Amino acid sequence: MSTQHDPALTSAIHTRPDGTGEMTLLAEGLRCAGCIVTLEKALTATPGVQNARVNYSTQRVRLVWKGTPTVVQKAIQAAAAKGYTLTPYSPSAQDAQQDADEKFLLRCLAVAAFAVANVMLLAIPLWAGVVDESQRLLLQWLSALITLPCLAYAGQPYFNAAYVALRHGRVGMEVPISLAIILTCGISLFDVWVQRGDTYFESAAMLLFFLLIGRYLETRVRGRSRQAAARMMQMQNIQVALLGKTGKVTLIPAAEAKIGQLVLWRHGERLGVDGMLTDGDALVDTSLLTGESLPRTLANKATVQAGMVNMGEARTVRVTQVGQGTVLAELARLIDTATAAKNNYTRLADALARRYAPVVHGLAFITFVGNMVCGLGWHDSLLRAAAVLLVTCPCALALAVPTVHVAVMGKLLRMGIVLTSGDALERLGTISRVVMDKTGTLTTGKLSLVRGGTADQRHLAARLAVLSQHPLAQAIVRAVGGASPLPGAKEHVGKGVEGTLKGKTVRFGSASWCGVKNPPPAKAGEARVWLRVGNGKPVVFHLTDTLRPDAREALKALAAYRPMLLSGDSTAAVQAMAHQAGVTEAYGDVSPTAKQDMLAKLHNQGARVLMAGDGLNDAPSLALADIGLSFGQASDLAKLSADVILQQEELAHIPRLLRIARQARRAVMANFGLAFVYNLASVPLAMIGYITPMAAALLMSTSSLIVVANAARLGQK
Amino acid sequence: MPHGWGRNKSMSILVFLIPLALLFGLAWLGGLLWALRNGQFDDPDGNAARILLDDEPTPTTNRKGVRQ
Repeated sequence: MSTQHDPALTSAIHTRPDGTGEMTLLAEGLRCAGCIVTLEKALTATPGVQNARVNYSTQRVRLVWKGTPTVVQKAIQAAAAKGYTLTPYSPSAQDAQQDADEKFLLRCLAVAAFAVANVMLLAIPLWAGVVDESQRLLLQWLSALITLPCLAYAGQPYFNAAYVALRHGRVGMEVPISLAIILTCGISLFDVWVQRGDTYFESAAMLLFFLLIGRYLETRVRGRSRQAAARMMQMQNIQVALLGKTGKVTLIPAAEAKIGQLVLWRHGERLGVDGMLTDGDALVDTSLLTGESLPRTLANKATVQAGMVNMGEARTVRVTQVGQGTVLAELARLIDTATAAKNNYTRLADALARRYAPVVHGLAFITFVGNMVCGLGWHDSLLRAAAVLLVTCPCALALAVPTVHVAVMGKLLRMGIVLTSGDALERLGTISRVVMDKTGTLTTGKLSLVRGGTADQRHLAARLAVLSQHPLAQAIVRAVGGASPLPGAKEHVGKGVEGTLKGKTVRFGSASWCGVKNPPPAKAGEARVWLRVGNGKPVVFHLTDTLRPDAREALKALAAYRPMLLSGDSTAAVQAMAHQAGVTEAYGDVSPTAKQDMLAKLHNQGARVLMAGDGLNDAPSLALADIGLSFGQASDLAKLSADVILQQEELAHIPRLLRIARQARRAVMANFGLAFVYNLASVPLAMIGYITPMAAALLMSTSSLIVVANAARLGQK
Repeated sequence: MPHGWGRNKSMSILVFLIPLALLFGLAWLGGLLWALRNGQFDDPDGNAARILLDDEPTPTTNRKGVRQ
């Protein structure tokens, strides 16, 4: 990690008046309560850190330190050593708004709760009839005094929304709700003023209270999704080393580079611009863009893209595209478009609400007119109309969906499954097909040793390999379980490692490095690395990408969804892996555009697709599919475009998730059914006056409780 | 029913009790709003988990930068 100040880091620092620095960081890897302590301890143990506080609900850490930003970098490293990835984070305006909205709703809820509790207490003697005339009046006036200001404040979410909707000529659920509350309070106030009749302040208060609970739950569910967006910003704050005419190297933000300039691309550095190699072949890691785990050699004058990592010696690159013109930025735009289209998915509840409101208004109006016509007088007709509005109030409907979602999402979170969009759960319940990427999704993305060499030879190879960051070398080290480096050994970047053992030169690396003149062509999907001791015969090690251990079972469980494998890797390698995993439909050499075409084809066939992938090249497809699924270790952009992130890389979670989503959908439908049955039965009764506003409020509360209980069932299993 | 029930004098206690009940209610509301402003509700899941932790590290400065 460079000690240069990372612009992403410095922009996220907030300096307090007493000179200490404060920063919020996104935290990954918090799986349980114990993680809070481990992470906080690791951070506070870093010299300079004064305070580290984990927010388990939002998965963030607040760090307070004294000193330079290097303290933060050390803290991040300390956390990484324990297995937690921290990313500096500047909260966006959207986050602040979300926080403010939640807090406001909670305040409204609190005020409504205060009103409900006190007014219901006063309502008991009123309805029990144990008070005489003057006391009745006193209690009614008190109820009015408590209810009216409280509901005026607590009803804001609904009154404001109703006003906005009416101004635009629309009618949402907020309009009948606001009408019900205002009408009930209005009639009751009138009755108290003329000193006759019953008052229904507690009914209005109870209605608002239950509705606010539903709304608060819904807001919290929707708020969880925005974390991933922040990471997008980190990707773009990359630097490049500009090569001046005199050979002087200056570091500038990648976005400030100009086309035609020369950039020094150093070993291990991620390129920040699109360009052309000017001084020789380069060994590059394209995994961010293509998902391929093996570095490739690109010839001189070949195009290199932002996002690639230089695995060989430093090279000079002539800039051809910068900033928004790079392939990386293009991918990001594709994702944005697809995500925007997805956001237009109308939630079930919203679709229902649009039709429900006019019906409710119609019923209330009919009640009023009908009763007037029957000669009841305007006061009682209005009262019955208010009762109808109360009884049809969509408390149960408003709670039907959020309660199920909250219950299920809690369960999913415990399984390490994160849903990043509010309606992901709904869409998951409608999935009919599953499409998967190969590298990193079906396979672990890490190479493993399949065969080659004796145990001693492998161990010797590992002692040299441990000095290199090359994926092939790391695979050997993993296979042996770690090794102490051979003293005096050195890595020759792009070729291999060389050292001496008992007077003989030992070399580990590519075929040519180890003196193998014409190696036989490699098998599909296989990589090879050689070891040579002195002038002895070179030993070859075969490595391949490994299938995830639970892949076969997971795919068997997904048989009903007819899983398909789509990969950018060669067809031969894909077929081999598909055969191993038990997948019948598999396609190789699929470019990112071809993946999207396949998705479009499936859509046209009427299927709803779940796409699982982890590479950057998958990101547009993840955004386009009905549900995009990615892993905790995936590239940032893939996670950003995904609706579901599996923190634990278990493929078996996918069938489990789909099963839970279907259960949730059934529960939501059941809840809607309950709500409707209740409405159907009670509306006619309210129209003819058999249900007073009080009874209406009670009925509505009961139906809400039933709906909540139904949802709570889901969270238990 | 006891004699005198329903007449004003035996219910005069209400004049004292009702404001008292309201006062308690307002105190509760005030407390809740203060807790909200003080950030007690910012991390409900984390706070729920923290009660079960035995060895929670104590921060050296609180939110407002005051040394503890």
